[in-house]
Amino acid sequence: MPTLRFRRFDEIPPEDQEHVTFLRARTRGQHEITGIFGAQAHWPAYMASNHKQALASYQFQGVLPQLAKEAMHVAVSMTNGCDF
Amino acid sequence: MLRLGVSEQGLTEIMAVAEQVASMAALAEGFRLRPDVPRPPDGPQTELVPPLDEVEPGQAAETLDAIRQWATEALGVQHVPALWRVLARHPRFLAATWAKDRLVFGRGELDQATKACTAMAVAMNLRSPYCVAYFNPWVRQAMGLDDNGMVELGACVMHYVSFNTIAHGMMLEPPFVDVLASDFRPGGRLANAPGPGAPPPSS
Repeated sequence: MPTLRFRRFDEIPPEDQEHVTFLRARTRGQHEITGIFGAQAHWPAYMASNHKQALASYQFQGVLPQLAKEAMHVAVSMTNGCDF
Repeated sequence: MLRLGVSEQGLTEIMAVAEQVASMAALAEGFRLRPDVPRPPDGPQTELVPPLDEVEPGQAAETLDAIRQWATEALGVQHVPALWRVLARHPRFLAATWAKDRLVFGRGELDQATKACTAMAVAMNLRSPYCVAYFNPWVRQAMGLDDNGMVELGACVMHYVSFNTIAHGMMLEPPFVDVLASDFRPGGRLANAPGPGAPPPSS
């Protein structure tokens, strides 16, 4: 059970709606913000900031193939004891 | 990984790289080995257990010769890294560990470049100066990374550590358990689950 209850899109305050626009596009029709984003959704600006960082690193199409990035992700998560 | 076409063995190969690097880092930092790639440090190479002298390899000679050959090709050094010469005090363990090392880091379902990136990421994550220095030339050579490429790799490691911390800190439950590679193939029960390589959400 996650530490904090996940937030629903309709619980995001109007002034923070801009921060969840990208997530709405990804999860069309979904009402609840779950998973790794759900863990950050109580601070939408932070979630959006992390998303931008992800786009510039893990999802950035640079010289590293996606397979290598995924392998790194799995291995780092394993050595960090991350169940998720 | 599974969605990208990797099989169960491929995922196990990643686990093997992770645990091999973790075990190397434990020994290196536990014995306080000083980084010796690309060149040996001035003064003692370790504070706790001196490495075996390459001039008198004893029963470890054959294994050390194989390691030296690999180190020359992959790391660009002319010496056997101290980690292996420390293990050489137990020739049987050295031989078994080197054989495992070659299996784990050699080409399997995943190529060596992917494994080198993985090894470097784990070495960084475990904050092992010895292992970071050790894997640095190999990952640069295997994946063809310049300094900019290394920063791309480092940026990914930062992202993974950040998200691991979030997931762990908020006690997120794993989205997938007890899965097979076939679950993510077209027609599989998780074929449309979100994630890398997933089909775009339908409108």
